Amino acid sequence: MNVLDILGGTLITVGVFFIVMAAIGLVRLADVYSRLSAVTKAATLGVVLVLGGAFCLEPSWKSFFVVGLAAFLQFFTAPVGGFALGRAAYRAGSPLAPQTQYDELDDAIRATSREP
Amino acid sequence: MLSRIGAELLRVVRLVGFGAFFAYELLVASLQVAWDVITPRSRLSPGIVAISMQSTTPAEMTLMANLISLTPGTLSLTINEDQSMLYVHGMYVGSADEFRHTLHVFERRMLSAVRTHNRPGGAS
Repeated sequence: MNVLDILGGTLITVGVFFIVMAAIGLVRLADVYSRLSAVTKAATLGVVLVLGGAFCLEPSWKSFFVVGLAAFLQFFTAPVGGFALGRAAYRAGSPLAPQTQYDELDDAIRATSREP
Repeated sequence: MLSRIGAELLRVVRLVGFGAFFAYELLVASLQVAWDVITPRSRLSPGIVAISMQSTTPAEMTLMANLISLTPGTLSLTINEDQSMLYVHGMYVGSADEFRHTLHVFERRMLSAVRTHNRPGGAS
């Protein structure tokens, strides 16, 4: 066991923790938008931490590039996917949670009476 | 020449600083969402808030919308037709004005990190 092994194991454990949180959040949270939040973000952080941990266990230039590319793609595709799904859900009229306090998008749509 | 190198260096320092700041925000927000998910009582107070954007170029707007979406608890939903307002869904909004203020501060930090004022010709 050297320092890198310990660091790698820790990163993977923390990453898996966030992925599990995302999975539980997907079931427990109140509406589509909060669930999307949980899945796209917590899962992104989790995957990137697991990738970092994998790099610590197998440090080489090759894995540096592979892990770097995978993390880069994850960071750039996850928010775009979340944005597209959130927008589609809103346009399809998916209901907001009853606790929701503001909907300034709805106010804006009513003001112009056009589609966003 | 020297001052240009200095300006570029300062820019790199600001970018790295913003990266560290964002990583910290990401971690705090993730832990907040994780805590809310595992504890039985939900502190969810969601809302959709309109935010006037200071970003002007498509690249800046894309970055802003993506960074908001990356942060747990906030999700960019859409942009209005003249591209001045961003509609953000937040899980813990509390007061709409407070939420707006937080995101405005965040956007200012982001813009000062990515904008290149010192380039000759002002192209970014």
